[in-house]
Order: sequence, then structure tokens, then C-alpha cells
Amino acid sequence: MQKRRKPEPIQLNPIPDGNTINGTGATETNLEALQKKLEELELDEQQRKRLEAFLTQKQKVGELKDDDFEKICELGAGNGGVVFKVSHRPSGLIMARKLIHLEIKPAIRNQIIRELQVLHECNSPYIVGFYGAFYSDGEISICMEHMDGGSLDQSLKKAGKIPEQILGKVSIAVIKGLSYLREKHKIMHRDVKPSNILVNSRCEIKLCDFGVSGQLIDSMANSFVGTRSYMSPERLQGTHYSVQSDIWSMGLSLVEMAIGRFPIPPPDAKELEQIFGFPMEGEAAASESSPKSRPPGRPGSSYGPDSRPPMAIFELLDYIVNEVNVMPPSGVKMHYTCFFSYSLIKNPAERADLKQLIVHPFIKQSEVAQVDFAGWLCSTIGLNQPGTPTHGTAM
Amino acid sequence: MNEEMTKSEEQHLSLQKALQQCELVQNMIDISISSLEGLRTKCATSNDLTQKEIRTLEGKLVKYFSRQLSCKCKVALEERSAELEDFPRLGHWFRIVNLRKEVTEEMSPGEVTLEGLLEMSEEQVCELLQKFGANEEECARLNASLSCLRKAHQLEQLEEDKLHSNGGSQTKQDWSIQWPTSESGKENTPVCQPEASQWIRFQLAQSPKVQSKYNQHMCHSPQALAPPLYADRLTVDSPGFPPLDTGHRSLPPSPRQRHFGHTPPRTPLVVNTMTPPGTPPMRRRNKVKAPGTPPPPSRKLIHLLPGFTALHRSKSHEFQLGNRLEDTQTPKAKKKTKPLNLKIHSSVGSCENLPTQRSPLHTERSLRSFFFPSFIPSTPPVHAETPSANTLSVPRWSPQIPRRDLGNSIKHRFSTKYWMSQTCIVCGKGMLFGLKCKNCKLKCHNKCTKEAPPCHLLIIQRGGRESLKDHQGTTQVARLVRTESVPCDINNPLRYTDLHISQTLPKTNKINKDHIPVPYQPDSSSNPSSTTSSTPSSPAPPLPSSATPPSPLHPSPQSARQQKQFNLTASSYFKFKQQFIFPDVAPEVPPSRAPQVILHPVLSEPGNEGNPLLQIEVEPTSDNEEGNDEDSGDEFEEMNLSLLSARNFPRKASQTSIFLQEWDIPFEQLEIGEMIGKGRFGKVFHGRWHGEVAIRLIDIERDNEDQLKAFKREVMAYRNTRHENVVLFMGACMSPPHLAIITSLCKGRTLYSVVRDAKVVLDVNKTRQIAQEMVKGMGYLHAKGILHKDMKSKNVFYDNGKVVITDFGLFTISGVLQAGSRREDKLRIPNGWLCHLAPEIIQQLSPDTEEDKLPFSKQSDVFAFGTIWYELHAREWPYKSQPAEVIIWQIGSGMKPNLAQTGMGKEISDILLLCWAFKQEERPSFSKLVDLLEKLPKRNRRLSHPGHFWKSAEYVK
Repeated sequence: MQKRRKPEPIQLNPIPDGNTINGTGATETNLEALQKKLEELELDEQQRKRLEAFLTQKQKVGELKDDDFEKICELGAGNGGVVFKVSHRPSGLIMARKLIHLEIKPAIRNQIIRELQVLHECNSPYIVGFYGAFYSDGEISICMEHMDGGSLDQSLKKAGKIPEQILGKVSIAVIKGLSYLREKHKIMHRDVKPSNILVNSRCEIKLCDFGVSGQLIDSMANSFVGTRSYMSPERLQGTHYSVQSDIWSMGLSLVEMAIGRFPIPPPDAKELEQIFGFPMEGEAAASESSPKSRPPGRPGSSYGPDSRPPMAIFELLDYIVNEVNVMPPSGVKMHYTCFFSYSLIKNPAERADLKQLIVHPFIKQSEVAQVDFAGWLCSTIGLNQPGTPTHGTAM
Repeated sequence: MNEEMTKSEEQHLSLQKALQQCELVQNMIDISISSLEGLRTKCATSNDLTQKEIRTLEGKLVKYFSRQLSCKCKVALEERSAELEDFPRLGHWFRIVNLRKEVTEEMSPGEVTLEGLLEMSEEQVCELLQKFGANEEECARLNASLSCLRKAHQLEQLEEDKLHSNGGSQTKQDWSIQWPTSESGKENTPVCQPEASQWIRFQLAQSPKVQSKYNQHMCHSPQALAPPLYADRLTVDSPGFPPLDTGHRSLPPSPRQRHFGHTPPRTPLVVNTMTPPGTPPMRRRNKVKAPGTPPPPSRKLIHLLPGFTALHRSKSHEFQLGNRLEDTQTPKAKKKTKPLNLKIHSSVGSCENLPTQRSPLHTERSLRSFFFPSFIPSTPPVHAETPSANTLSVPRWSPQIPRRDLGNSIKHRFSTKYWMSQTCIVCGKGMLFGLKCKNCKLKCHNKCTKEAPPCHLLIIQRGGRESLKDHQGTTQVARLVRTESVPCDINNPLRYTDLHISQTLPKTNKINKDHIPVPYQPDSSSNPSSTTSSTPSSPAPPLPSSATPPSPLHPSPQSARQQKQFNLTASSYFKFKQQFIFPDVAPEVPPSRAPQVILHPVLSEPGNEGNPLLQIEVEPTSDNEEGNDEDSGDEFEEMNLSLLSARNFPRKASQTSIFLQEWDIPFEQLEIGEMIGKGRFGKVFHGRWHGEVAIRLIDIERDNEDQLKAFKREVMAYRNTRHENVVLFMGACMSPPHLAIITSLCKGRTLYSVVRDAKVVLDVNKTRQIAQEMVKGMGYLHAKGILHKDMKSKNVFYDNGKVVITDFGLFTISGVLQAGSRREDKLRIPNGWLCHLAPEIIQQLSPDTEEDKLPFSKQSDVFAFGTIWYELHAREWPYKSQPAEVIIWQIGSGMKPNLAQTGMGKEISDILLLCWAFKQEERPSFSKLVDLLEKLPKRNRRLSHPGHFWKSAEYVK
């Protein structure tokens, strides 16, 4: 209830929100709805406090203006935009501001801003908080909660691989986040991938960059395609797709983080040895799961992309569509592997859905596992040492 | 003292005249090149007429270049100004050769010169060019063109040589002798003569027909005859004539003398056309008198002359008029006259004709005479005495010539050289460009030649002769010849001598290379000013100054022989002259000879010796073959125009040339206005550059040499595009920080916006018409070997039914996929791009993809056209709003978008599906599409219901 009490501040929030966003404000009814929604969430105490704290802070923000921001540093470049760590002077808040350069007509710009308002309602421990969006000088700004741990693809780069326990927590967060979006907002993410999963030192794992604004997507002058595609086979083929598609993406992302490289084309036995051989030895999980793959002390130094020439994009996509199974990572523990395999079934109908996954043994295991996530994160990022997965906890 | 003064004055004048001449000719080159390029880009290049035009233009261009070379030669190396050194422009030559721009741009300015190339062997040329990235074909083309130019030179040389040789061997009388003597006397004669004689044979060999023509001409007008004679004589007799020259000098312009010699200069006819100083009669006399010498040359001249027509004359008249004015202005002093003469010569190109007095042909002689001191005596009578013919011509000019001779007994035979590093013997400083004496190997700066020690070799070899010959005139003849052939300025006696030497000494051939010899007498005419300067000269219809000096109108038997011989060889030369012979193109035969312009010094008043008037005669040189006349006639007209314009705006010529120069537009010249678009390649601005233009600033973000090269390569390709449906390429800024492409400004709006404008009704008739226009433009580009590579509705402008395609070929250099926007292992995919990519291309995309590595083809352009065809009816891109991966996989695997939704009729979708065929070879060519579109039902009715339904997932392979 306390949490629900806190909604009061939340009530205040809506107004500033409304101002912020082109005047389309959340009404009080919206606030109440919001409160209600918060109550519906199965939040633990900590989550609830944090969420309320966020909403409280957000109230102070008021209308976002370009002038109020002070750039601190660049956090990275996302799809179609650059993200800066900024200070919002009026409120003193640190935010992540994503700037998307769009040369578009005001009408379209307004439409985008309007569509982005949905984000105000996305309050979940698994979704990156949203402060507001505005247009300024040819650019759409989307201001979000700053996640000090960055994205998982950044972590992955530094860690080389991400240990199972951590991935367990990640899996939970992603599943719950997707569930939240689907159940509360009837939207799907559409772009689940390591770089859209953010973490922070408070052990929070959140999704960002989900496809709220179709207009924004259409307006982007460029898109970027690389050697990794997390898009599900059914989506590539242009057939109807749904949240199941997000599950595919999640599964692929998790496998990637588990083995340290994008799983397509799938690593051969030799590469798996390298991947799980030496480095995995230190880890209980790895050692257990992959007796085969841990032949003698081979220093699995390079688990990066294999030596084969990079696939053409089409080749990669065609593999996803037409090759039988992307890969059940053979070098990993049972539940673990199963979980992945389950989420990577090509036929979306056969693929596990969110409800199935949330009760999957791997998830169940992970929920109860004590994982020093922050410790892992800090050491990984802070130390800057690639390939030092220091996570302490075994499952 | 006076002499010195005159020399410097002459030098100055000669420089100016040469410069003017070069600019004039440059005008012609500019015009000719642009029309040549226009012709080449014509769709119907296969058309015979077009081909013929092209050949003709090429021939003209060769002439122009040789003229420039000749003009340049007339100015002593040391005197040449930077402006003059600017000619001939190698870049333009490359355009004639059609070298790719990337190649030419590789060369730093001044690194290579046309003269330099002419002196190189084919292998050397290839080697050099390949260094700059030229391919074999280009090397071959260049070599072919160079050899053509060389031959043109050789011809001139031949003619000159003949003159020399005639003079030498025959020694005698003809003006030819005089000229040569005056000039040659100093140094060249001896050497030249022998060579010359050989040449003479060639000339003789040339064509009996020509002779006959000449003869006729001669009958009609002595003048015509004269020029050829000149040439021959010059080559032949350098030695004997000096005295004559001197005579000329001394007696600058007595018309009478001229008359005596060749023909009455002043006779109206003569005057107009040919009246050179050496009157035709004189020449005739000379020849007659001295059987051995001149006649052959005359015959040559005759060949050249045959073309004479009223037209030519008239033109020449015009020129003359202009000239006259100028001339009149020019002071009378013999010295002054000399300069004038010099100018004339330079103008003539081959004709060094100094003197106003001389008819163009004569002028040369006269010039020579000026140079040779011996001639100075200048009393006309004197000349008459020596070689009668010579005397006639000589008298006017003589004084200067003699001075020259006296001053420098032996002159260097300089040729322009380019070294990687070399030290000037005179000033001790390093030099990249300079002169090298072919005789004594002395190397020095152009500017240092004055200070250079005399040429020892020359002295040794020729000294004896000269002394003797000078007096006699034989040496003079030789000198004359030299002068002609040599690049050095006729104006400066010193230079002259140098030139002469060079010519005479080694081989005329070399000389020829340097100079573009005679054939084009018209050139000579081109120097209006010079013409004026010369005087009254007369009738000596004679010879195109440079070409053949004086040969008598009457072909002596010898001359006839010579001509015959010459015909053989010469005819071949002629052929080559005018045409470039590209490896892949069989040389078309018989180019007409270049028209010859003869400058006749006209003495307006007998009394005014000082104010000689030069008359310009244009003599069409015709090959033996008929039909040449027409061409030559055209040329004359051109020349006349150019000459006239040059007179009026002598300095503006260069401006024009700048515009055309290499398509390179100085960035500063652009006025950049508001931005009218932003594309993948950068921003597009409205701008001004001689009217409204579109300026595409190209962003090459990285310092990418390859990209820069690619840019230039594309620009090279654009130059030649001229089609109703293709944007007009106007030029480009190609200096790295500022890269831009300037095109005409497209009216209307992009097809992209038209299609998305709900107010615009696009029925089948309209879409078909739009498509047909596009198809025509694309068919044209493909025919020109240009792939668009980025065919899309945003690159098509639509204005009231008119369709213009833009931005073709730029994709490769766009840097779209990488530049700046590239993130690590990500491919940047512009919105709306993928749906235009054919399967074979889309399958190749990878983060490493470089634009220029994608397998673009004509078929891929057709695929992209198909997408526009779809867009025209669906009013939107296919795969709109689909993620890039989806489009890549679907197109890459052969899927088609669902056409059922678009409601397009079967006829339309049939065409679409052809264009979108998965297999390249199944896609129709644009020419085929013309037919397909034509067959579309023309009524504006709902076409039959959609015949094909594709589920988006449908797989069509």
C-alpha cells in the first residue's frame, strides 16, 4: 500500500509529463490508472520503492527543453541516434538523452512525439524509465533513465562471455519485461537484443528501445544492419508475427551472451571447445554441461567470431530462415540449453511462449539464485578486462 | 643598336602575336572539342555522317594543335611567357583522345606537356601514362593521336624541309631561298637542306593531281601557286636566297618588287587572297630562272593551294582588312615591320613570315631575310639580283634578318624538354622545364637562352656554309626552313636562327614534332596583326608563308618530279594529319588538307614601306582527292570567324577556354544558393554558374584517395552525356576539399513526391509516358556504358510530362554505406534503398560492403526501374516500413511484395515482374522495355484485373 500511496507523487507526475510532451498530458484519470497499473505489477518492495522514487523525481522535471541539458558524455550510438549522458539542470537529474536526427515535417514530428508518450505509461522494473521526449532543432530527443551499467552488448564485449547465473537474471528480466509490455500495453518489443538490454549497478536489468512509434521507425533515414540479426524466421519471411518473435530474439541474444559470439553460423565442435574449454573451466556451469567440449587444456583464447569470412547479410538471414535449428548450445547446462532451445524453435507456434518460459526450470532456478550481479558488472565494466567473468556465485 | 631595339620589340611583338594566335586557335579548339564531345556522345555515333563529322573535327583539332605548336615555336623559348607556355593545352588534347579524367587528373599541372609527349616513343608514352593509371587502350589512343599530330608536324616539316632542301640543293633564287637564307643562314641551312631534299621527294611524290590543280590555280591566280612553291623552295634552297631576304628587309615592301618576283602583289585579287610580298611572278621567275630549286616546292604548294577559292580569299580579305588596320598602326620602321612580320609568321604557324611585306608565304621568306643580315641590304633590286625571285620577296624585310644573322652566327637548336631534375647551364639553377640544344646538348632555361653560349657544334659544322651561303642565300634558305619548322619565334631573329638551326641540323622530324609545320597555312593567316604588319605584298599569291615559300608558280620539271614523289608519301601523311587513328577505328581516309591561310603583306601604298599591310589568304589545302575542298572550306570559315573574333576580343578567348577546360569548374566560380535537397551523396544546392544550376556538394568524409578517384572517374563518364532525359552535366569541382558536380537545374519535382501527391492523377497513360521517358534516358546511359546504380524516384525529376534522370553513377562514390555513418560491423542502409536492389546485389550486402564492389549491372538498373514502375502504381515503395533484414531476405530470396494490394492490372504487373525477375538474364533491357511499354493498352481504362497475386511469402525464383 505504501507503494500505492506513493502514487500521489505519481499523480503529480502526470502533469509535468503532459507538459513535457507537447501538451498531451496524462490526466488524473491516467494517473489513477497508472497507480492501478503499478499495483497490478508484482513488484517486490525494492522494485516498488525504486519505481516510486523514479516517478517522484520525474515530477520535478517539468517540461524538457534543449537548453536545460548539459552534456556529460556520449554513451553510445544506437539505431539511428546517439545517446548522451546528460544532466538536466533544473532537476539535477542525470539522464540518458537519445538524439535522433530527423528532417521531417512538423506534422510527422508531432506524431512521433505523440506516439512516444506511451512510454510515460511504461513503468516497470524491467523497462527503462522515460522522462519525456521533445523536438528541438531537427532532432527528436528521448530522455530516459540513465543506466550506469550500459547495455549488455557492451558488457559482453568486455566480459567475452556472460556467465550462466547472470544470464539467468537477464532472462528473468527480459521475460518479465516482455510480459509487461504485452500484458499491460499490448505491444511487443520488436527489437530485443543485447544492446537493448540495459543494466546498472543496482542490479537492475531493463529493456529499452522498443518499437513504440511506428512513425519514428519509418522516418529514420537509415537503418543499420550488421552481422547479427535477431529477427525471427517468421518475421523475415513476412508472415504474421507476434511476441513469439521477441522470444526468438531473446533466445538468440542469450545464446550469444552465453557463448560470446553471435550464434550464427553456429560454432562447430572445435569452436565450441574453444569457447567452453578453457575459459569455462573455471565455471561450474560450463564444466558441468560440456564434458565433450572441454577437451584438454586448450586455451580457449579466441571465442570471438570465428575465422571464417563474415557471412553476407542475406546469407545469415537465409540461414536463420532455412537452416533447421539455429543451435541448441551443446556446451551448456541442461536447463540452460533447454531454455534456449525452447525459445529458438523456428516455428513460432511451437516455440515457447512467455508464460511457458517464466516457469521454465532455468528461470525458476535463476529466480532463487543469489547472484552478485553488481559485483560482476562492476568488475567487468570497471576493470575493463575482457574475458574476466568474475561473477562469484555459482547457481 | 637599332637592330637590337628592333629585336626586343620584335620579340615582344612576336610573343604577343604568338599568344594571340594561340588564343585564337584555342578558341577554335574549345569549340571544336566541345562539338567533338557532343558528337561523340550522340546516340547515333554509328551514323556515318556523325562519324565523318567526328573525323573532320579531329582532323581540325590536330591542325589547331599543330598551329599552336608552330606559333609557340615562333617565340624564342626564353621569350615565352607563362601564358604562351600554356599552349598547347595537354588537357584538351587528352579530351580529344578521350582519356579518362582520373588519368589526367593524376598528372600534376605541368608534369606532362604535349611537346614532351610528342618527343617520346610510344613505349615511353605508355609507360608514363600507365603511371597515371591509364589503361592500354588509352595509351594506344593517345599514341595514335600523337602520331597523327607528329605526322602533321612532319608534313609541315617536310614542306619546310623541302623548301630548305630546295634552297640548299638548288640554291637559288626562289624566295624560298631568301627566307631560308635569312633565317637559316645563321645556322641551320646545311643540315636542313639535305634532309629537306628527302622531304622534297616526298612532296613530289605526293600527287600529280595536286600539281595539276596547282597549276590550274596558278594559272588562275599566281598567288595560289606561290605558296606551294614557297614551301618547296624553302626546303630546297635555303642557301641561295639570303640575299633576297635581305633585299626584302631592306625594301620592305615594295610591291613592285614582289610583283616582279612572283606576281604583282597588289593586283586586287592577289592582294585579297594571297598577295604576299613575293609576287607570284617573282616566284615564277625565280623558279624558272633557277630550275633546280623552287619548282618542286611550288608544286607542293600547289597541292596545298588547289583549294583556293574565292571564299578563302574573301575571308582572307576580311582578315586582311583587320590586319591592315593594325598594320597601319604599327610603325613603319623596318624593325617594326619585322615584328609585325614576326607576328604574322607566328600566326601562320608554319609561316614564320616576319614581314608584312611578304605574302604569307613570302612573309616567311621575308622574315628570314630580316633575320639574315646579309639580306639587309634590302634593296629590292638587290634581291632581284641574287635570286630574282628571292630578291623580290626579300627586299622588304631584310634588315632585321641580317642583324640576327650577324648577331648570332650559330644558334642553338633548342627543343623544349622536361626533366626530373636538371641544371641550367647558364644560371646554374635547377629546372624542370627547359631547352636543350640538339646540337651541343646545352641545357638551360627558356629565359636563359639569351645568355647561353653559342652553339659550338653548329658553328663548327655550319659556320663555313653560313658565311658563304648567307651571302648567296642558300644558307638563308635553309634558315628559313628552319625557322618554319622550329618553334622559336620568328620574330626574334636570334630565336629564329636558333630555330633554324635546330630544324636544319638534326632532323626535321624532330623539329616537326616540336613545331607543327606548314600544312596549315591558315594558321599563319590567323595572326591578323601580323598580316597587317606585313605590307603590301603582293600578289605573290604565293605560298602560304610557312608552307612553301616561294616556289614559283610554275612548277619546274623538277618540282613536278618532286611532287610526284611527294604525293606518295605525302598523301599518306595527309590522311593522317587530320584524323586521329584510334586503334579501334580504322582511319578514315582522305582528310582534306588543312586549309592554308596565307598572309600577304600588302603595301597599301608603295611609299609606305614602314607600314606594310598583310593580307591573309586562306588557302585550303586539298588532298588530291575531291571533297576535301568542302572540309577545307568549313575550316576556313571557322578560321575566319576565329580570327575575326580574336581581333575584336583577343583576350577573351582564354576565358572561353577556361570554361571548357577539363570540365573542372573552380569552386570559387560557383555561387551557392539555398539547399534544395539532401541526398546520400551530400547536399544539393541551387546555385549559379553561368545561369542557374544544381550544385551537388559531395561529401567524402574520409580522406579516401580511392573515393576521390572514383569521383573523378564518374565525372569523366558524365562529361559525355547528352540526352533529353538525362540531366545535363556541366562540370565539376575536383579539388579535394571542394568536390561538387554541377548540372543543369532540374525543373519540377522529384517523381518521388509526385507519386506521393494524392492530388496527382496517375493513370496508365501517364505512368506509361513517364516510364517511357525514363526508359529512354536509361537506355541512353546504358548505351554509353554508364550504369545508374541508384535508380529511384528521388533521382527522377518530373516536370509537366518531362522526365529527367539525375544522379546516375554517383552511388559508387556516395560513401553511403560507410562514410562516417558506418558503425563497427554495421551496414548503413538508407531508407528506401533496399527495395531497388536486385537480388544479386542484395545478396552481396555485408557490413564490409563497399559501394563499388557491388555487382551493379544494366540488369540491376532494370530491376530498380521495376521498383519505380511499382511505385508509380502503388504510390509507395514496396516493402514500405519493413525492417532492412526483412527486405534483404525477401528480395534476396526472390520474394515479391504482394501485388494484389496495389490493384495494378495484369499488363502492368507483367512488366513489373519482368523487371523484377530473379535471374538477371530474364530482365528485359531498356530497349526492350521501350517495346513493352509501347504495347501497353493506351486507353485509360482499368487494366484487366490483377493477374498475379503474390503472397508476400511467396517465393518466386
